[in-house]
Amino acid sequence: MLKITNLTKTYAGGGVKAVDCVNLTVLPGEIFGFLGPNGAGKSTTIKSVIGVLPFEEGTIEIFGEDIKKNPLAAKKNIGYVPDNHVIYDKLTGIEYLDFMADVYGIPAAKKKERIEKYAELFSLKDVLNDPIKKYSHGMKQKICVIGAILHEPKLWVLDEPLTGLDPQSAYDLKQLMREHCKKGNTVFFSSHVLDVAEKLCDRIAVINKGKIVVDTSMSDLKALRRDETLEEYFLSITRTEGGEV
Amino acid sequence: MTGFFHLVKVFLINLFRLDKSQKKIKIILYTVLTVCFLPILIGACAAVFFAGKHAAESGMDISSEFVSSIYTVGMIVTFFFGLITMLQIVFFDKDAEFLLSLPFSPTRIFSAKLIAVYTTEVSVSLFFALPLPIVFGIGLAAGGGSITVLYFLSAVVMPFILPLLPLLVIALLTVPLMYLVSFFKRKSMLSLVAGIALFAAFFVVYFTVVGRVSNAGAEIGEGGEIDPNAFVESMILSFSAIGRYLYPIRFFTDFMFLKNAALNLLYFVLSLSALFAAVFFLSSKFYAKSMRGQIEHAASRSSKRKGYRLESRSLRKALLIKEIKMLSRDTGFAFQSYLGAIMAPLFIVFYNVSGILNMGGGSSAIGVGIALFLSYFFGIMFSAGMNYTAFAAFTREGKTFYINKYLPVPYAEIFRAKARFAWIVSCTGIVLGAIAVAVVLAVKGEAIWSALLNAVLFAGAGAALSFSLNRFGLRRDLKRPTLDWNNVKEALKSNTYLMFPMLIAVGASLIPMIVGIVFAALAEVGLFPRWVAYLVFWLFAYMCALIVYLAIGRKKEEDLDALFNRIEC
Repeated sequence: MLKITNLTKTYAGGGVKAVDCVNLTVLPGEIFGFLGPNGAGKSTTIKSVIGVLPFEEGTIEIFGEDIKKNPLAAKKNIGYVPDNHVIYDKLTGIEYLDFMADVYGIPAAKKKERIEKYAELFSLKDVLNDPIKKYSHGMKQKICVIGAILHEPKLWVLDEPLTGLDPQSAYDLKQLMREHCKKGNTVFFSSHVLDVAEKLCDRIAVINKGKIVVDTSMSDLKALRRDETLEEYFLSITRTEGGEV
Repeated sequence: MTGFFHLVKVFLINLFRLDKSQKKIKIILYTVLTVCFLPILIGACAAVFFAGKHAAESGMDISSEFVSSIYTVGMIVTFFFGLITMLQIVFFDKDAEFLLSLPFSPTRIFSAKLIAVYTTEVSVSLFFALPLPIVFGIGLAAGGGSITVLYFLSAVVMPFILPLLPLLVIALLTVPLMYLVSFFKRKSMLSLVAGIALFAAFFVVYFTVVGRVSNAGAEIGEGGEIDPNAFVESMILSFSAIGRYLYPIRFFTDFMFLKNAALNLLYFVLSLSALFAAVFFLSSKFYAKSMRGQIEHAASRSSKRKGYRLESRSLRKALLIKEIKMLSRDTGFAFQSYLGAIMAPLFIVFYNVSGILNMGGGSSAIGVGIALFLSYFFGIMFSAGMNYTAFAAFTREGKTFYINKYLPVPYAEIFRAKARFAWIVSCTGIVLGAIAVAVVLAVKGEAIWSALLNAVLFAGAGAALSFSLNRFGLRRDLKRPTLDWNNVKEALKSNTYLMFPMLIAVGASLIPMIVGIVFAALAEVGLFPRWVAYLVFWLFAYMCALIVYLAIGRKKEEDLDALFNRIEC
């Protein structure tokens, strides 16, 4: 379970609150979509959740572990896929996965089994010996995903996980997300693709200007938006006074 | 053309723009460096003044050669710094893909980068090549020699032209070399080897030149009493020997002294133009290919190796292996990081082979002593004082730094992994340096056991000192790493603290060296056996290492979490 309470983050020298008193609870077994326009505070929230960004107010608990008080225990429960695929691209695919497995303390036998399973699933088996910098955008995305889920964390935090994936890989990843949640785990992902969020998520939250403007289940959302499509509804709640989204 | 200037502007902004927080520290650092180097410059100016005065008074017609040799020294210094800068900006940059997509010819991109490199090197050139020829001219005038306004005007202009010569020579060497490297599979490793080989070759040439001066100077002491005038004369002659044949500099200095002025100026302009033409021809033919070599990975075929071996490793080992692989495959940073460790033994060997350490006489107490003490100084400076493996350990992570923060790994463990790796690099240079010292001492007639003992002491003191300096450098880098950069030069120029470990290394090796030389001189006159000088030297060396450890090396790790957490990425 992911529980964010009163999260507030102001960047050094910025003055403006990038995230302002955000409260979210993502339950076990849920796929949670985190939506919002550019600069709304999605990445700041995600980076705070995974322990990359320090925050001044609030608490974040990951399956009972406070990311501030007990960061190592909390981080062990997280698998994170960044949106920019900035990883150790001078390593080969296998070296990167090997490193990630060692860091998360996966035994050799399980390491091999899981790497082969996921590499097969994402069609990366033939390029595992190549440096990651040789990979295409989609291949980098896939290796990031494998690196993040190799230790089978309870919470997946995925920043724009489907961007750049070919249809088959996108489908496979969505299946993986569903299977992961069926086991009582949690998926927290951000996306700009509203259709994906609509079809995949159990719940969504929309953040705008650092504040949560909607936090609801998909069934309640249907009632909220009446005849509007999700896209129209999203635009209506995130549009500023000047008409800017 | 406007686009070209925009390109140059962008390169220069990337190279020189500092944020406000860095400006203050940079100003302090440069002020300290200026204060430190000012006495050396004043001393050199005084020597050059008296050389000029003496040359004029005694009617020696070597002024052109002498000024030419001053410019040669300036060129060597520019070559030293320029080679690093050129490799970093022109070849090891990350912007190849972006630049090739712009509507510029490779020659224009190359030229814009060359201008950026030139701008960084002018300051170095100004430091050496502006004051000394002017002071020499004043010295000539003071000695009654004829000197014209044209000489002084040329002396003001020359420092701005001077960096072009070594930079064009570097370009002539590096463009084809990097082109050849682009044909091979392991480009990063080969680029690294090629860069270091160029550097080593530079030192061979440098020591050959310096050795020639040193040996020429040494001859004057032979055969009894030294006449001060003969001494100055001999030094001027030996110094001028370097500049005698160094064209096209010699054309320009002949022009400065109005020797066939028009013809020599023409020769100089033609030589420079020919160099430019050759560089532009080579860059138009080969530069684009060498740039594409950096980005063609995506198009290349997959590795044929299908199998892989996986084993369980401890966290400590996994982090260390990651550090080694990531750095070794990053040509720019690897070049900068491994250079010190590779140069330490080379410097010690070449410095001794070239004869410059024979100053006090081959196997005498002072001769062997100077060889040992200077070797220690250079060994420490290169291996421990220039170890960017530690001093830029967090900076080189760039945008991947955030990974350190989301992995479930204690920050102290990450710090230790980097410290261990940096120490391995330092110790490699120190051990190789110690072996070089043992060989040098044995060749100089020192007993084998003494040579070995000194080598072991060298390694021990060096390892201890580098341990402290690496940890200090790591902490400094962690306090304010530069994570947003395009090339190594850009990353390092913003790193304010890089110089501090080097200055400490210089201090910690200079003090025992000076004490050692004094005691070796006393041993030479028979006050005590030479081993006393060695003993005192090593006592001071270990004392300095202990002081450095107590001051900066044993810093506890409690605040590492806070240091990591304050970095927002």
